[in-house]
Amino acid sequence: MSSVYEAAALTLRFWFLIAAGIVLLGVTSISIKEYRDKRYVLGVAHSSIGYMTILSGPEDIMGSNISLMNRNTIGRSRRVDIVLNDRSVDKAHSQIYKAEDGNVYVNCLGRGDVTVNGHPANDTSPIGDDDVVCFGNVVARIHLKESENN
Amino acid sequence: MVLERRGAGAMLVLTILFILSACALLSFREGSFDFGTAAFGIGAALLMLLGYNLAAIIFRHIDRITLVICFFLASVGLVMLSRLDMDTAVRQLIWLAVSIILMYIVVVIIKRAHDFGRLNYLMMAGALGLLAFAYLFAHTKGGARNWVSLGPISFQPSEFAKVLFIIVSAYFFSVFRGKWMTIGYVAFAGLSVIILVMSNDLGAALLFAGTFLIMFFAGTGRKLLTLAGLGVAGAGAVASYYMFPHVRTRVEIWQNPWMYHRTQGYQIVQGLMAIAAGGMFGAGLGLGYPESVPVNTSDFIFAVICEEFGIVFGIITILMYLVFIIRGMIIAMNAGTRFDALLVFGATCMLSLQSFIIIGGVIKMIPLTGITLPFISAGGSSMVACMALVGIIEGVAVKNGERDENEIRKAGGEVL
Repeated sequence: MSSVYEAAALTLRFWFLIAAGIVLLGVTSISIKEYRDKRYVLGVAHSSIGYMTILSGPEDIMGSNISLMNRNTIGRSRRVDIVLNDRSVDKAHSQIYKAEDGNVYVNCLGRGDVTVNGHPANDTSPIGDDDVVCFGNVVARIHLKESENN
Repeated sequence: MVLERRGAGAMLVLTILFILSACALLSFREGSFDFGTAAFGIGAALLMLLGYNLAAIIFRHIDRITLVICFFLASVGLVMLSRLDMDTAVRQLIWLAVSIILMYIVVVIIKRAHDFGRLNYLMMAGALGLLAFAYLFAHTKGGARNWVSLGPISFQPSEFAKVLFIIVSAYFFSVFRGKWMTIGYVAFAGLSVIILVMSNDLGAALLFAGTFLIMFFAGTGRKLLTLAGLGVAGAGAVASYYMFPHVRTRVEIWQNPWMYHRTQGYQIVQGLMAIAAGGMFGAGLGLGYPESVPVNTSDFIFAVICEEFGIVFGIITILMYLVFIIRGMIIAMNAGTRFDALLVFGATCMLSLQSFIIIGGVIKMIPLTGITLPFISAGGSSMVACMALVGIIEGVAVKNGERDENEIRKAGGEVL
C-alpha cells in the first residue's frame, strides 16, 4: 500500500468524522426545530375558527391567508391581532369573534367602514363561510371551519 | 402560518459526499485506480438520491429525516462492505434497491390499511409457519439454525416473521376482546420465542421477547403484568441457561471471553481488539485489519467500523439510531389510531432493540447473540425486513402528515 494512500486515508478519517458529526447534528437540530414548529402551528390550527383571504388591499398581504382565532381585533395599529396597513383602516377598526351562541360575528370598533357582502355591518353582524367582508378599502373573504359554519 | 420542513436534503447531500469520498479513497487502495469501487460509490450515491427524491415526490408527507438516517446508516454499511468484499457490497446495494421499492409498497399498504382485521390471523399463522419452517428445514450458520436455501436463494425466515409479529401484536393490543383472544395472542408470542430458542437463534428470540414485553406495556399500561412477564422472560432465560448448553456457553464467554480466546470467545476477543486498535479516530479507511475479525460483514461489522473509522464514529452511529428511535416515538405519539401508534412503536422498538442487542454483544455489554445490525450489516433478508419496518413507520408518518396538513389548511396555513 502506498504511503500516499496511507496519508490520504489518515487525513480523510477526520473528514468522515466531521461529515458524520454534521449529519448527526443536522438531523438532531432539524428534528427539534420541526417538533417545535409543528407543535406551534398545529396549536394555532386547532384553536383557529378558520381564516380570511385578503382579496384586495396592501400589496404585501394581497392573496395571503390570515388565521382567525376566537377573538381577533383588526386594525392598522401594531397592538391589534391582525394588522392591515392601509390608510382606509382605523388603528382599531373592527373585531371578528365567535360568540357563546357558536356564531361568528364582525363588528365596528372605530369610525371606519365595515361591510359584509356589500351591506354595512352593525355591532353584531353575523358572518358565514365565503362571506366577503370589507375593512375600509381592504377586502377579505372569510373561510370558516365546518364546525364554525352555522 | 407556514410549516416548513427543510434541511433533510442537505443531510442527504452530506451522506452522498461521504459515500463518494470513501469510495474514491478505496478505489486507490491497491495502488492503481480501481474503476469498480468508484462505480460502486457512484451507483450507491445515485440510488440514495433517487430513492429519497422518489419517496419525497410520491409521498409528500414522508418523514424525510427518518429516511436520511436509514440512508446514512446504509451508506456506512455499503462503504465498509466495499472495503471488505466487493461482491458482498454489490449484492447489498442490489438488496437496498429492492428494499427501497418494498418500502414504497409497504407505505402504500399502511397508508390505506385500517387494522388488517381478520388478515391478522393469517399473518399470525404465517409468522409461526415461517419460524417452524426455519426450525425444520433451515441449515445452521454461525451457530443458529435460521438459514433456508431455496435453489440459489438463501434467506432467513425469522427476518420476515419479525414484520408479521409487529403487525399482529399492534392489532391484538389495539382491539383486545376477551380472554380467549388474549390467550391466543400470548400463546402466539410465547410459541414464536420458544421456536427461536429451539432453533438456537437466540438473538431473534431475545428480540421477539423484548419487543413483546415493550409492546405489552405500551398497549395495556399494566405495570404489574409487565413485571410478571419480565419475570417469566427472566426465568425462561435462566432455565435455558441450564437446559441448553449453547446458551450456557454464550454466557460463560461473555463473562470472560479472554479465557476462551482461541475457541468460542474468538469472535468477541477479535472484535474488542479491533475496536481498541482503531482508537478514538480510527486506523483510517483501508488501513485496519478487519480480516482478523470473524463475521466481519454482518454480526461484527460494528467492530470493523470502529476499527477503521474510530470509536467516536461508532458513538455517532449509535446516536443516529437514538435519533431514529426518537423520531419513531414522535410519529407513534402523533398517530391517529391506537393501531397505528402501536404499529410504529413496535417497529421502532424492534429496530432499536436489534441494534442494542448486536452492538451490546460486540462491545461485551451483554452476551453475544448472532443478529444483524439494522441497515448496516450485509444480508438481503435483514435489509428487506428493516426497510419493511421503515415502510410501516413511514406509512403512519404519511397518514399523520396528511391529517396535519388538512388541519393547517383549514386554518389558512400551508405545509412546505
